[in-house]
Amino acid sequence: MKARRPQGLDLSWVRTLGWAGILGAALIAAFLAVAAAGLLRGDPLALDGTPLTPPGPSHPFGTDSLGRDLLARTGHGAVTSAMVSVVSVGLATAVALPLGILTGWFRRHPVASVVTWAVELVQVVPPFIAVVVLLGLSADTDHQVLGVRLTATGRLILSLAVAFVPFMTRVVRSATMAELSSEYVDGLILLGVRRRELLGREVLPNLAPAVVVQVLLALSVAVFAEGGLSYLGLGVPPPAPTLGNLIAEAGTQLLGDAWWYALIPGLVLVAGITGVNLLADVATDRISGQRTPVPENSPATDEPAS
Amino acid sequence: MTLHHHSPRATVDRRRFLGLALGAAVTAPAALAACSGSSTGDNVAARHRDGILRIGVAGAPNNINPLDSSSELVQWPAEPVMESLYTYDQNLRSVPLLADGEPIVSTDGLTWKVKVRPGVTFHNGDPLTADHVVATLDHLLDLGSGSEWITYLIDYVQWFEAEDEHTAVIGLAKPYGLMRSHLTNLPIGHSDFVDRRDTMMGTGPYALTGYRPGQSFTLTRYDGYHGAEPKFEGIEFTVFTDGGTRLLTLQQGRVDLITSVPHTNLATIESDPDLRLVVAEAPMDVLTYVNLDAEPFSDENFRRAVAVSMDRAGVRDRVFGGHATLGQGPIGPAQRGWDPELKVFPAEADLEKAAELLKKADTDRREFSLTVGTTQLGRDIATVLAAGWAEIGLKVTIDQLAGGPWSSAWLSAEYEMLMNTFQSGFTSGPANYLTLTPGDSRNLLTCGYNDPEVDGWMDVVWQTTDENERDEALRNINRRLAEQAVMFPPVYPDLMMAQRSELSPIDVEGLRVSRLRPQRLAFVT
Repeated sequence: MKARRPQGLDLSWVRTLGWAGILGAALIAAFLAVAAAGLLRGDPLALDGTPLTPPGPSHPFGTDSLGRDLLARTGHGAVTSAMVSVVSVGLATAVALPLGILTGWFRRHPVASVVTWAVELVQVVPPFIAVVVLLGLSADTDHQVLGVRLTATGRLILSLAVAFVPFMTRVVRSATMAELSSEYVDGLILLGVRRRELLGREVLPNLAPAVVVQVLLALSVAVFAEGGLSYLGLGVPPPAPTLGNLIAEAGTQLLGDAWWYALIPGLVLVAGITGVNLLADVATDRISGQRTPVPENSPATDEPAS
Repeated sequence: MTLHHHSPRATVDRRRFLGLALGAAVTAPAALAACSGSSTGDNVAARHRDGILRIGVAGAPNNINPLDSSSELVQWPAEPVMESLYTYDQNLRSVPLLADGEPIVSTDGLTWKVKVRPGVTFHNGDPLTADHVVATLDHLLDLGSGSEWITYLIDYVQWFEAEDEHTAVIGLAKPYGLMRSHLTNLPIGHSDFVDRRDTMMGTGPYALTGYRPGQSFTLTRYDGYHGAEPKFEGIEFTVFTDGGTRLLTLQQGRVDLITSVPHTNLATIESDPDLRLVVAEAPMDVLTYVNLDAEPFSDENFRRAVAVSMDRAGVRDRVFGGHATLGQGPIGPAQRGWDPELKVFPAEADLEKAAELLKKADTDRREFSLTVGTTQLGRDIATVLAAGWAEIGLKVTIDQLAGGPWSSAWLSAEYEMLMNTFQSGFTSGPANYLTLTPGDSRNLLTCGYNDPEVDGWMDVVWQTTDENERDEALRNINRRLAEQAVMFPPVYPDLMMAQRSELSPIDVEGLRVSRLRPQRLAFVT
């Protein structure tokens, strides 16, 4: 007869995450819960309520100045914000990952030097400012690019992605260079392992922790940037709801005792940003604990380059 | 290689920073509340000792030449600075101001001779002469200046000259019944300044002594003014782009008057005993044009379906808080030619009738674009309308364009439905002739509607000197354009402002021609 291991609640993940990780996960869960509830609520543009109705049974988040349900708008806004952030960071990663690996591997090649120099030059401009400039340079109206209609949302996503590429490229490049300096790489090369195999099977998996941390940090910056840009009227155009749009619209209502109008979307935005930040923080701690290098001047740290 | 070192005791790490930020967010409102609170009335009285009237406005554009722009953002600060040959009296009749008496008009109506008043000086001390009137007209008719006035004058004003130092003569190509109206609204500028976009030089009771784009206008009393002595030492127009911030500054007593009050702030104003809400019927238009030269609005049934399913009551109640009159034709209640009996469209959207009309429509299109300005107001109007039209299966794409691109779309007829708000009193007084021009098939701005009878009525409006005949023609145009679903604005909004009780009441009659007349206000205790 086989001995049975004692069954019990495994709480090791609590220790793994720590209080910050748990709080971060809870905040992200709250963010996603609002998004889901808002999507289920229905059309965020429907005028189905009395303007500026406080939160109550018929409208849990209240209504806005036109009588639109704020739960539906906040939920759809959260989805839009998350979508813009995830897609832009995903695009940036898709570009930065091969670029960083190649410039790290061929670091003495003139082309790699030029790319590295260009990346460092672009990095001088803070990402938020870079996005504002890129949006300013793009057209005001929708237009076709390679047969695809580029909307304001598309322009925002591309601008955010372009702004993230230099940081992420530098992270990947530094991590690649650190990895290549490991003894096992020299050993594998001596054993005749092919370059493609070495990169794909050995180096790339070892870059994952650093990339994951940067992706999480970039996500939090992207959620914040989307909110800020929409607040400034540079993001997704109204009446489409985003968290930034909602807060901007609510600005004039604060004096009219409509506290819920700005506060609730604001809290959801704060939950999203703080939640991703805390998880990124935990990930950074764990990776730092493993002494995984984090390159200089990345979004993760303001420490000067050495 | 750089490693990520942690020294939480020496520095504020990310986690601690987040905690501090959250703590600050929670405690800041309480701290701010504790800092506020003092006798606002006493503060206002103390502030008034400097004799400066302070007004909170929504913006200050880069081009502040009042000969170029009819925007209230330029015209309200310009009112105390610039004057016209004629002005409106208390009963809104045109009376001489810079003109020395009534104009002398030739029997064929083609030559207007206006004498300027002697003894009037500009703020730089130069005397007002007929040359300045000529320079002003010259600027208006210069295609390169971009003046909005050119639309009114280009077909009519053929020549002009200074006959002598004090007499300006204007020659017309054809009789122009609106000439007196234009001379009553057109500011006369100094010949050296008429082309300037960064300042203004006039003969009014206050001189523009400071201007910061996007921030403020500073006006200082002009001691050489030819009329009654100015009451204030100066007038300051300060920009607060956000409506809530404007109201807050008024509540705090930092300004005496604010313009462009959002309807969502009305309850706050009405509940504050120190504030007074000013609501006036004014020549405010929601310009609404559809392009009849292209699908889907070339189809009459489609057009009518859109017009009858327009949620006019929704716009009135949700966007203007009930402070608007439901729209029918292009002429509103504060304008000449207003017909209160005209009832072509229902207040609530008639979805059943709209569905019937759509069935009859030849066009298969069930979507169109609505191009509006970039203001919150324009966006809100479009949002409410789009939600209403969605109920009969019409998908509306809202395009927002800034002033220049919006005007370009209008001029080049690259639109399907076009909307914007416009205050016409500065150029047309108690009327809005420009709004109607797209209904004229011969006009550059034509929306594609071709009705010889309407074109004939347009000629009457612009050419007759008989006010009754003009009003009749305006009513006919208004009715026809509404019945044909060519122009059907959702509402005619009221003009809303708010002032402190320490300031004398704003002249509501003046607002009927868009005049704020801040120079006529006074501090009261």
